[in-house]
Amino acid sequence: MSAYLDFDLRTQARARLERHTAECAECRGVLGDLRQMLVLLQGAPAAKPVADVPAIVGAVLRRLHEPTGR
Amino acid sequence: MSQPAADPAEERALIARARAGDESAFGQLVTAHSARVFGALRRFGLDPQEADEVAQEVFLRAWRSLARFEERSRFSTWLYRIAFNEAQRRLGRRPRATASSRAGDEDAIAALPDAAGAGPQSRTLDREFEQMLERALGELPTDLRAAVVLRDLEGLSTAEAAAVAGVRQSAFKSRLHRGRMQLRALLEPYLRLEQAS
Repeated sequence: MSAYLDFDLRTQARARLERHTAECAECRGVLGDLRQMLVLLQGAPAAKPVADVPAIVGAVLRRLHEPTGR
Repeated sequence: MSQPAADPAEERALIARARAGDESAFGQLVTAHSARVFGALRRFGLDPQEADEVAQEVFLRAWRSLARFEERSRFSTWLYRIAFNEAQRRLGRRPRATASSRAGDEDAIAALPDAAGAGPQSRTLDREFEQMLERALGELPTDLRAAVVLRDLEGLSTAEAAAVAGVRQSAFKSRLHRGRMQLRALLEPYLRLEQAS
């Protein structure tokens, strides 16, 4: 199903899945859930809190000459 | 992806200057990419303080490794690769989550339909979804979580995401499918609620 939603299935396999989901309510439900979930994920905002960009940039520039090694 | 990508030609010029030791040019690259890197680290499972610390490490590694960046991939994809490795390293040092903290997450997910139904429509649902998503992602095994994050949240292509995760595309697709199916099961109450509204 994942490959189907990513347009990553060959024509025959796509048709087979579409025939099956037309007849099987359970799989049709799962496919619908997955499709909806992907739409929501693609529009999901960044996790809060968001980055403090100036603080990260400042810290990185200050640390550029630190000796390497962990 | 809260930070717009730099113009490709401008970015190439900044990379060339940074390679030659220009710290100001590198600072501009960090400015352009730090929100993206921080966001990815959060989504890989790091808390805000860890994400802040690890984001710095990512850029310091990038600075030291710039000579090895071959520009066959996008600079952002290269940074994702470093961020992915650093996040796995940090997550690997953590103790396993306790049973009680997991139970709390499950309770929160189970309580979702009532909570979402109470709010005034989409803004509340967005916030609810954000919180549910964070909790649900936390339930996924690390490798499956990373696959969903890279492909579906960060928007990388399958080829790019597989390269970042350091696996073949076939293996990545398998992880992605399993991750999506597990996430669907965790978010099912929300998804059904949305379909009904």
